[in-house]
Amino acid sequence: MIMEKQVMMKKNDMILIGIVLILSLIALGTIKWFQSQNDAAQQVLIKHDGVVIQAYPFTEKTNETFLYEENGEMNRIVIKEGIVSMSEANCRDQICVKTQAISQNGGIIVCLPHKVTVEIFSADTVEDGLDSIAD
Amino acid sequence: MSENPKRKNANSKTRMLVFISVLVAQGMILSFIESMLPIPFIAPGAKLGLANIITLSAIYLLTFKQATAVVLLRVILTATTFGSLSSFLYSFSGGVLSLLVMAAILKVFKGEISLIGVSIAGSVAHNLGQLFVAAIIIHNVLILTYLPILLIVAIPTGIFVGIVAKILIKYLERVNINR
Repeated sequence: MIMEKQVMMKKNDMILIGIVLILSLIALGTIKWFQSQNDAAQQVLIKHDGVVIQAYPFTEKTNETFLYEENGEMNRIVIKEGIVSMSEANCRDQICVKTQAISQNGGIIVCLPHKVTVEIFSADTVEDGLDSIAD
Repeated sequence: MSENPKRKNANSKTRMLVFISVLVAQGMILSFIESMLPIPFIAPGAKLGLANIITLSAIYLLTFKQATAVVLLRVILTATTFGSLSSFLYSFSGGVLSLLVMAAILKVFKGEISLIGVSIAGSVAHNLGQLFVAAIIIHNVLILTYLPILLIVAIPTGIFVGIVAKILIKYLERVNINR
């Protein structure tokens, strides 16, 4: 029988797991801190390949639906009641549709196959040069 | 055994070739099966990483160069048969990073860490590699907000992969496949 009763994990394994958990918490803390750095007006930015294709001001009252359709790719984004979500898409993995809706600064929904991202952005947010905003 | 050395050498080279090929094929099948599994969704890029079972076994049983060949071949062949350019980039970054990390940890901590731990590190590296490539491809750093959850998810998947790899290695060593 293969599953012999033996010590499967050693002490260093636990240390490793501990390190991973700590890193995860640090990452989480950092992200939460960035998210709390917003007081300025928030916007929902819809980007394709890093270029903003649509922006909406984001408040509790915002009520918009945006349809991205190009080259056979489709994504539908809905902003309603203070929440942003991807209601529909024709990508194969549907991960973007299944992603939890976002409502906070820094939140992001990603459709990798279509290179579409939906994010909540506030003028105060610290972002680095990977983004580019089209005028 | 009275084999002449030249023949013995050719014989074991062939065995090695076959062994590596089988591993590559296994890796491809695992990638394929993984893409078919209806995974309860957690985050973009969260995968079981089943191919790491093969990578880990290769690192443990073979030389680093041979293990690298297994990973690269698997990544390239998987992408060309049922992948796309972007899936190639993700597998490549995840696969190579986990290969490097697992090989390094195994070498440095040999004996002091079990395969499970190595595998957890490999899962973490795999997820990190994929996340960074995704950030570059979509031109957006914010995807890194998924980092905490991916790190946490890497632990159970790493443990699972490690257990399976351990069993696989045990069988392979028993069969004396490459010695």
